[in-house]
Amino acid sequence: MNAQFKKGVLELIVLESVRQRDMYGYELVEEVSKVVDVNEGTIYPLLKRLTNEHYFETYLRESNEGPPRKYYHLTAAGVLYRDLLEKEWNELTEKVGEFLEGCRHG
Amino acid sequence: MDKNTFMKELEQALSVLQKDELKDILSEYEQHIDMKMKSGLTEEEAIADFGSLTELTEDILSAYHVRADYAAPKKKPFQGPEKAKAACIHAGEKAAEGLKSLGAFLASVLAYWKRKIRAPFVWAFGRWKKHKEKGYHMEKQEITTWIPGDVPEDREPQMQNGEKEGGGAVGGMQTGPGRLQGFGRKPDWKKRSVWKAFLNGIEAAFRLMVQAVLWGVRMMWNAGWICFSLFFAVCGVVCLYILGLFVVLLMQDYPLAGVTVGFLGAMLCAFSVAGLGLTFLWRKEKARDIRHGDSGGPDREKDSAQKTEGEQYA
Repeated sequence: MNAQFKKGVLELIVLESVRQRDMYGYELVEEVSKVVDVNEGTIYPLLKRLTNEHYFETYLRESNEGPPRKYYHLTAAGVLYRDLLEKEWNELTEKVGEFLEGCRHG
Repeated sequence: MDKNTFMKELEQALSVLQKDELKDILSEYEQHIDMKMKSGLTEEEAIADFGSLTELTEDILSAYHVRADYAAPKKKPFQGPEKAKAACIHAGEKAAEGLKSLGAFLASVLAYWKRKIRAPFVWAFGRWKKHKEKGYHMEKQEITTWIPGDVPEDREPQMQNGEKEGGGAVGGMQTGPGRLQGFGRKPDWKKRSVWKAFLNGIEAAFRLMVQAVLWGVRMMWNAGWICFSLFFAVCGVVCLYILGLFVVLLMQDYPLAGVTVGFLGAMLCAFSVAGLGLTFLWRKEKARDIRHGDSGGPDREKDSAQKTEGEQYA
């Protein structure tokens, strides 16, 4: 898939995944990888950025194996942002779909 | 690339970030690699999934709103260590040189004061020895010139002259008292030589006694300083032990940094005081005086005086 496409929707996928339930980094990477084939390394900077912009809160929780894991939780601002992104995404796909459809018939 | 080098390079590339942020993001990647490996991948494969390191660091830095090309020149610290190393070595050499010259200066100052303090003693003992030797010599000379010389031989020719002048009979008469006089003198001389020998004996005994006393004093002095040094050396070893203990505790995150440094100082102090004590030892100086003894010059004289002083106590 085009890297530029991926980059755009990655945020939305991540936000939606965390909205379902709190997740830690590796879990999220796996979740996202199911949807789009993405370079795993790029998820972490994204998480970082979303955290810095207060869409995520983080907390540490002990795990049975290894060091404590950092869990991500979606904030109210995160929920609003996710909704905005979803709306934009839907508009975009709708418009692009309409355009492509029009071209095919026209 | 294995995990350690990857982590190191990533850290280097992200060194523009704040410490705790850097630590945070690095721990995320480390955990990710660990989990990947747990799921059955090798270290290499887990890291290969991240793609190119430069792209990754660009991504990460853009998340912090940092220009990736600003971080790039930050890679220069790769060459930095070389420079820093060279600078460190240079500084170390300079410091060593400085310390050396400082040490030399201190040593010369100490040597100067040692000489100053010793000088009166050296002078006094030199005088004492010279005086003794002179006295001894003079006595010997007296004796040697006295035995064959002045009195008996001078008298005899005189008597012979008297004999010749005075004619046969009177001469014969005079020989008696003359001889008697001569015989009378001899016991007197013998008495004196016995007296001298007696005195010499006493003097030798006295000298022996003085030497024994000096030897005793030297022994006491040396024993005292050895005990002193030994005590401080033992203190030093104890400090070293405690230091080791504290270093281990320090490694386990006990807040003992100050105490540890204190014990390091105490240990160094104790050892150096022990060393100082050893320098006060009163050593024998051997056989050098033979070479220097004959040659003249005021300096040499001083030198030999010092040596004879050393010998005196030996």
